[in-house]
Amino acid sequence: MDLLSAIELWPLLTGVMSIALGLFVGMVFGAMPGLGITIAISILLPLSFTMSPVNAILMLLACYQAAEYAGSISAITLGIPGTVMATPIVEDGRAMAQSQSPGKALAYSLYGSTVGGLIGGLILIFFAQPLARFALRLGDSEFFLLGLLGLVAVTTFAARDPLKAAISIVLGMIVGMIGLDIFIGVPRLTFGLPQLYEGASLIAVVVGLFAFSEVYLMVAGNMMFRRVVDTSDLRISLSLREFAATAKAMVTGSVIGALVGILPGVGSTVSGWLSYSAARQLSRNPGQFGKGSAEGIAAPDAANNATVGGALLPFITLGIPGTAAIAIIAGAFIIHGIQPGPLMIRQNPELINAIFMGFLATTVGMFIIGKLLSNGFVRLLVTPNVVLVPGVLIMSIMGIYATRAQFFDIWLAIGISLLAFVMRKLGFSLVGFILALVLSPIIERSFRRALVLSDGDMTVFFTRPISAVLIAFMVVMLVYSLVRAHWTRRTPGRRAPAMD
Amino acid sequence: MRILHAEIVFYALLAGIGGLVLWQTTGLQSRGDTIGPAAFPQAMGWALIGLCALGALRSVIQAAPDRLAIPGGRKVIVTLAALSGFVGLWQWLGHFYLLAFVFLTGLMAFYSLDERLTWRRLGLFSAGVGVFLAFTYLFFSRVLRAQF
Repeated sequence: MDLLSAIELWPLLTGVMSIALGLFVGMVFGAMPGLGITIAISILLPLSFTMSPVNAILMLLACYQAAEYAGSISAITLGIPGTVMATPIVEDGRAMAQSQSPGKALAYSLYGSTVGGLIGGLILIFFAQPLARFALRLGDSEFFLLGLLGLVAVTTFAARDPLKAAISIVLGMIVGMIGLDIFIGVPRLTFGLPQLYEGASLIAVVVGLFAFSEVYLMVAGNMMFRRVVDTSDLRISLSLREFAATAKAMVTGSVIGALVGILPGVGSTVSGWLSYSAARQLSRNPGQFGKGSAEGIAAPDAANNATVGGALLPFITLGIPGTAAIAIIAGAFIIHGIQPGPLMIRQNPELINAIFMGFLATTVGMFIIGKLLSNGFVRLLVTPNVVLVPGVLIMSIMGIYATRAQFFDIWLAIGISLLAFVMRKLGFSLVGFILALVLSPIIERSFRRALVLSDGDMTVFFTRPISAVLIAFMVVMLVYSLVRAHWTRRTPGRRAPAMD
Repeated sequence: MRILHAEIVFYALLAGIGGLVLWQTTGLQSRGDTIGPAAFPQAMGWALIGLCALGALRSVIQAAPDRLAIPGGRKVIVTLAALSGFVGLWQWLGHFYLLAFVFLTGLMAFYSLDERLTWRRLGLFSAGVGVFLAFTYLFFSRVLRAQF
């Protein structure tokens, strides 16, 4: 073997191992009710320090993809969705598990997720270049408005209470401003602490927000409670005929999932329900929905995984993360000094190609691991919280410390976790907080640079045509948000859909 | 505690954070930049105070009668205390793996009081934690080269 091929083989091998690790962790955490996607990604994020940028990003994307699928494992075998996104699958998944077999329901879920992941990936690949070319024509004023639009979208679509979401966003923006000023380098909001000069450690904030605060919620019930899982007939396979019968639902779910994923703040909860309704409308057997319909499982699962590809599109091309998971994955880019956005596509084509190819590989890997190990993940569901809670705590602590060897970061995570716990209890939005934290430097930098370039002329933010369109979108969203809040108050018992 | 009171206390705390932001950024000077480094944090500080005032007003008007439920509150406090104690002792004394063993086994023993803690169960927890920490030691120190 010559030296060149040996050099190429090593990155490939490490890439495969990173994807496998991400898939494994994603499946375990996605399957366990109460853990979920954000904790899985939070715990893996510190490891990305030790990896190449491509491997780190692929590991996190694999984790995201796998957790989206794995949420259905507990939905089908226990009737408890492992993630919020798996809620539309519970009824049909559980009914099929009881009337046919859990393996058959899991198979529809896995095949749907795989088709969704692939279609979402292809949409990402085909639309990334044109969108990035368009984004290159945008100026700082438009980027400022795009960032703002992302936050307004979270307030509008992702939160039950727009006022509390707005407060969460402002709080996230403030935490995102801690550190040296991006223009003139003076320390801001650091309270004289040198540990804060580089900003609040993103890993500490993420772990405190999602992992530690979740642990405080998990300890509420009986910690020794062991779930009873139906492990009879866990063969995960579909015949060609069964696959073909649900293909239309899978494609419908995938397209809806990818399109909804592009919208910031919406995410797979909405896409899952939308695709479920669409699949029922298009089905030859709509009466079967809710009673173990294969299409009722495949469509939302396809939508969930297609959302990942869709959500990556605005992030990679514009630098605007639309979901909490993507915001945490943005941390891996930041850790490696990569600024997502149109310039990244132009300046790092190798990285982008590797992410695109790797994304499709993660979907295929998810299918293989899901087929081989899903029955093992089902058996893991009996693990009681007495084991899970200390495990999550110690892995989180080790992850935070391994990144910068700073005790300060662990204390910061503990402090943030208390804030997050109270925020969750009182109905504030953690999604809004983390998105604002990540978007804060983009929004501030664009705003200030636009003003410098225009000699302080504020009209630059609304005189360009694209700016006007973005402002119009924001106004529509805010009006919708107010109308919805008013309507929800007037019809007691009706709750607005929320992602967090 | 009623949700109304909890919300008002929390809004006051957040407004205090807003005030802290304003105080911390008051003296920051602009150097050639049109709005300077203080403008954005100050805008956010004022926004936080304003939104919290609005939120508090809304809470008072709505006056939700429900009480704030924190199921397993005692376990939350013990978990937080154990976590802080563990990190504090580790920072002070070192010996991460030894302390981690005590922390994890202790937490598991405490949580298992939800049913019944037996010697057999304690032995199982200790053995499980030992094996887990051995794996993490190998992974972090040999693969990632991270020292604790």
